[in-house]
Parts: sequence; structure tokens; C-alpha cells
Amino acid sequence: MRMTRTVALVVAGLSLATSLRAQEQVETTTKKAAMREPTFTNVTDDMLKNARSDGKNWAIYGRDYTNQRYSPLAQITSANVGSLRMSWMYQTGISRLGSFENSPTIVDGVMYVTTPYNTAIAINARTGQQIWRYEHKPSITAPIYCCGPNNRGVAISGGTVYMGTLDARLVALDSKTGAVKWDVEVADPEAGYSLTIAPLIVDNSVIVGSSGAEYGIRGFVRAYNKDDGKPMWTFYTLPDKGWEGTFAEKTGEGEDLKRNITAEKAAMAQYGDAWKRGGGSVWMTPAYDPTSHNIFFSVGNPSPDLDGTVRPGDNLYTESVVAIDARTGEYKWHYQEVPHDVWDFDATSPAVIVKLKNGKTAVVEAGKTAFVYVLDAETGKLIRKSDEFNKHESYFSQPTADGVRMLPGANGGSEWSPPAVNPTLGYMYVLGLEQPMNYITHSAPLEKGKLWLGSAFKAVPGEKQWGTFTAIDLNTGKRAWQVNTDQPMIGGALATAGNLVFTGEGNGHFNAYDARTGKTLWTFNGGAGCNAPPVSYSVDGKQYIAVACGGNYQLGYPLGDVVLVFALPGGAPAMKKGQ
Amino acid sequence: MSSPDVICVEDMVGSHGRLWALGTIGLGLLLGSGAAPARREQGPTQLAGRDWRGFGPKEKDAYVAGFIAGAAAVRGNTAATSVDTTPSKAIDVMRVAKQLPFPYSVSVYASQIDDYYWWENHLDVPIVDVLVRTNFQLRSH
Repeated sequence: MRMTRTVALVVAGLSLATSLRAQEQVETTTKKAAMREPTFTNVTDDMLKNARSDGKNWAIYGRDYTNQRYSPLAQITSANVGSLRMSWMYQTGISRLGSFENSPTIVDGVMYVTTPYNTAIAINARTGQQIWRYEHKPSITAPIYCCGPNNRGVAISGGTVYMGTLDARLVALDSKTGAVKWDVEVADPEAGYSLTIAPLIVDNSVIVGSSGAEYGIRGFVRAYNKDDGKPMWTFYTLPDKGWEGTFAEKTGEGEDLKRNITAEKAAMAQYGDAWKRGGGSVWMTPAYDPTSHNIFFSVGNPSPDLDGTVRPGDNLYTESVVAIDARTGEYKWHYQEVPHDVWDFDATSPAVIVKLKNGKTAVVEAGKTAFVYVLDAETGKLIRKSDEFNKHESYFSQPTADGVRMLPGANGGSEWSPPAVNPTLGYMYVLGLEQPMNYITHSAPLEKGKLWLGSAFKAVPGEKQWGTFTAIDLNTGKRAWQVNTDQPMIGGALATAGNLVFTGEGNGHFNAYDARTGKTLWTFNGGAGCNAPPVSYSVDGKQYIAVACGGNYQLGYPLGDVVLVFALPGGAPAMKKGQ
Repeated sequence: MSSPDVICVEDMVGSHGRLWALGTIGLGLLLGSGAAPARREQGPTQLAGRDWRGFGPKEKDAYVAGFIAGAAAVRGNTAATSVDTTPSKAIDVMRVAKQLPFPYSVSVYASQIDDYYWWENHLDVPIVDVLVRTNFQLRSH
């Protein structure tokens, strides 16, 4: 008996000592890791082309060239996401707030963040410690831009970080120090041009799209030599020939646009050159197919927004998904969602490349029209239009004196919010707005907001507005699931291999859902609106989820300046090879 | 500001003459000087939404360009009033020097005015008022 008790005590003591030793090892490892400075990797073209299989980095706006925002990391799963904790937070401390729409870029432990007024910041992605900070000084006193100040992020290549600015410049910064390498004017900011897009790197070029369609610009996509900022090619989103299209009476899917074609044709004599000021912003980063060398992007509204009488015709390529050759800017195809738009039904959400079950490569886009368009990547032909992800009422109605109640409203459908795709499930996760609006004929108080457009569409008094987060099965077009949120949704989504999908709300909630069912599995209140696309990355074998919570100017969601980063508690559980 | 001479845009003969007249109107109404020959009584400050809707794109640009140059001239810059320059050239010079009280391009103002006059109950508002209001809103972004 005594002997048994002695053995038991020895075993217990040994066990305790082993446990303490293990704990000590964990702490030592953690301390060593904490002291290690991040490295600044030279980002190669191969890294960008192979980004899809590189789980630890988020080196392109859409994570890889497909724009799917799908992380292969699976340390955080639907089973353990309930334990997710905030790992660190970073407050930018900027003096002027705006819409914090940034999608952080992360390469080997360094996170690059941009703020609404073009401050670029490098942060240690494991600790949240600032490494450097660049504050852009605008070239004009008051740059003009639509819908609130914002910037969606950077591109990175070699040792250079690229940022577009509100005063329509493209700035190249040293990724280690933030020092300016070059800084070029992309377009005249006094002519209404601005850049909010996160640039795209393709081979030796850095590609940007212009914004400003509310101010009579002629939109374009342009490639610059990434080494010296010299322009390489330009593709205008309003072509000088053929911009009037075919005077389509219906959409490509057969809905009646209720146009007065006779009047439009008559107006061609006077407004035959409306393409010169015809709008067509490119808000969001294109997707890129290295095999075909095509980039795919969505083009926003025509200019002026409301008055279609001064821009007769289809106003190509506004409200379209467009494919061009990334090497030359040569036009390949387009699909116009809304010819001659007078409802502000932009194609704003970014184009995404997916592989369908039948083996076909498709380009998909979630429209303000509240449909997802699935297009053949080779030809641009419509494969299918999804079920509606927001309700439709008086679709494509012309305005009336009392106001015609319309759904979707002028904000969509899907706003600029980038969706995410789970390629295994074939689901696309789309943020939507249910905002019933009255479209009012030609009569409004004289004192209104900055853009006259804003007063054409009025929220219906007393009517509830809300948001939707919808999984669309891209192989069938059917809604797989949908959840409603308290407020209209804007920001973006992240899907992960852990069967999770993340998105944020205007009320500050940042949520994780089961990618298969839409069940809410975890939520955190970020204070200000979490209205930016989340990302995921890993450092030292630990998976992190990051999101900017700084609200949205356009929808009036609480503004702020914080980047929140989450991880599972404790040490890093094992990851699969490649993660 | 004194009242400029009256004008009659409709009676201008030829597109160049009409464009020049509109540019001069815009310039003149801010300078307070006479602008173009006139037969029907309508001061340039009275030109409003219906007139705007009747203008072609080049005429709209000419009107706004003249106004912008005129606004600059009122500020004491004489570039726009020199004999050998046009309002648009003067605008270019002043833009480089960041001296324009209306600092944005003609197309920016014209597109905003187009949308403003989409509202039928805005049609009686003088173009001048819309220009000033638009400029204020853009600059206070």
C-alpha cells in the first residue's frame, strides 16, 4: 500500500514537472517569437500567381487573382470559432474620419493598411505594432469624390507598395520604410477624377481604375510600369465609337427598361459626344486570369446620374462587366447589366472568377440589381442570372410625382462590397441592402445633399430597412441560405476552409457564420461599423482574422479608425502543410 | 454688381457666334460689363433651367467656362480679360496657379447642373445660383 502511494506521488510529481516544463517551453517560444521582427519579403510575380495556394499571406486585394476572398486556412473552424478572441487592435489615429473600407494586405508578417484620406501604414501583423506610416498630402485643396472619402487598399510587388489617392494620384512606397519611390498623376483631380480602388499587379504593370462618374469624367482603366510609373496603356470605359450601343429596349435577360427610344435617337444629334463626359467609374480591383491574360472588372454609373436625356443610347460600357487584355488594354467582351441606367444601378461589386461544376470558367458579379450574373469567362455570354438576393418591386420604373416605391433602392442590391466564394461548396456570399425607396419625379426641395442624385431616391417614411447576407449557389443560381441583419449591409465578406464565412455590420457587429447553413456561430462588437472586407492570414503557424471597423459615411454608420485582429487563444494548433 | 446688358441667345447666328456669346455672357455677368448684342430682354443672371436645357453640350461648357473665367477676373486676375486670350485659355493659366475661385473643370460643374435641373421645380433657379451653390458644396467636401 505504502509502495503504491509512493509510486503514485512520484508519477504525479513527474507529470507536474513535465507540465511545467511544457508551459515554460510555450512561454519561451512565445517570448522569442514576440521579439522577432517581421521580415520584408520581396514579393515576386510567382508569389502573386500562386497566391491561391499560399494560405499565410493575403497579398492581393481579393487574396488571389480570382478575387474569391477565400482563405485555405482551417485552424479556425466552425467547431472552434466560438473561442475566437481579439488578439490585438490598431487605431490609426487619423484626424479626419471617413468610410474605412480598407482590405488589409499581409505579406510574411507585415500588414499594410490604408485610411480614408490616404494614410498608408505598415504594421507588425502578429503584434499590432506600427512599423511605418506615410501620410499623403493632396495636390489640391479639396479633392472631390463620390460617397464619402475612402480607400480600399494597396497592391504590393517586389519591395514596393502601391496606393491610389483621392486626388487621383498613384503613389509607390518602399515596403520597408514607407519612403516615396515615385508619385504620378493618374488624372486631373479638378476634373472630378479620384482613385479609391486598390491597385492590381499584373507582371510588370500596376493597374488602376478611375472614379468620378458623378462629375462628368470619362472613366478608364490604366496600366503603369510598376518600376517607374510610366503609363503603358489606357482602356476607356466609354468608347468613342459604339458607346450608344443598340438602344436596347430590354436587359440581356429580357426585362423591359421602359425607355423612350425615339426621343433618345432624336437626341443623338445634340448629344452625340456624350461619351466624352459619360462617367463609368471603376471602383473595384479587377480579377485576373493568367491563362487568358484577361482582366475582368465592373463599371459604374453613367454621367450625369439622373438625366438620361443628355446621354442617349446604352451608355456603354457603364453598368457592365468588361474583359480586356491585361498586356495591351485591348477590349475582349462586355456584358451590360443595365443599358441607359437612370436608377444608379451600378456594377460596383468586383468581378470574381470561379470554376463551375461543369468545368467552365465563369466571371460572376453581384449587381446593385440584386442579382448575381454568371458569365462565360471566354465570351461574356450570360450563363445564368441568380435568384434575387433582395426583393424587386417596380423594377426599372420611371419616377412619378408622388414617388414610385422601388426595390432595390439606389444603393442596391449589392453595393461595392466584395463577396466571397467557397469553391468547395460553390457558394458565393453576397451582402445586400433592403432599402425601399421612392423614386420621385422632378420635384424636390432646393437645398439638398452634395449630389443631386441623393434627393431623387428617398427612403420610404416609416418603412423598415434591413440587410441581407446571402449564399448563392453559383452552379444553380439558387439561394442556398440567407440571413437578415438589422441594417443594410455594406463592407465585404471572407470565406475560409474552416467552413466559415465572416462579415460585418453597420452596428459594429462582426460575425462568423457556418458557410454551409448560415448559422451564426460567433459575434464581436467592434464599436464603429465593421463595414470593410475581412481578411485571414497566418504568422508563425497561427491563423488570424482581421477587419477594419471604421463605419460608413454614405449609410451613416458610426465612424471610427480601428483594425481588429482575432485568433484562437493559446499557442498555435497544427496547420496543414502550405498553411 | 451692376446689371449687365440684356441678350438674346436664340437670335445668335452660327454656332461659333453662339458659343462665344455664351462664354462672354458668363464672363460678363461676373465682370458686370456688357456682353453680347441684345434684342430680347433677358439678363444673363436670369438665365435659368429652361435656358440650360436648351443649350447644347458645347454651349453649356462655354457658359460655365465664361463664368469661371469671369469669377477669376473679379478676383483681380486680369488674365481672362486680356485681348489675346479666350476664357478657356485663361482658365488653364489660372488653374496652374491655383487661383480659381471655381477651381474645378467645366465638365464637373456642367454635370452637376445637368442633374440639378433634372428637377423640374429647380428650373426657375438661375444658373448662376446653381453654379455658386455647387461650388460651395464641392469645396466643402
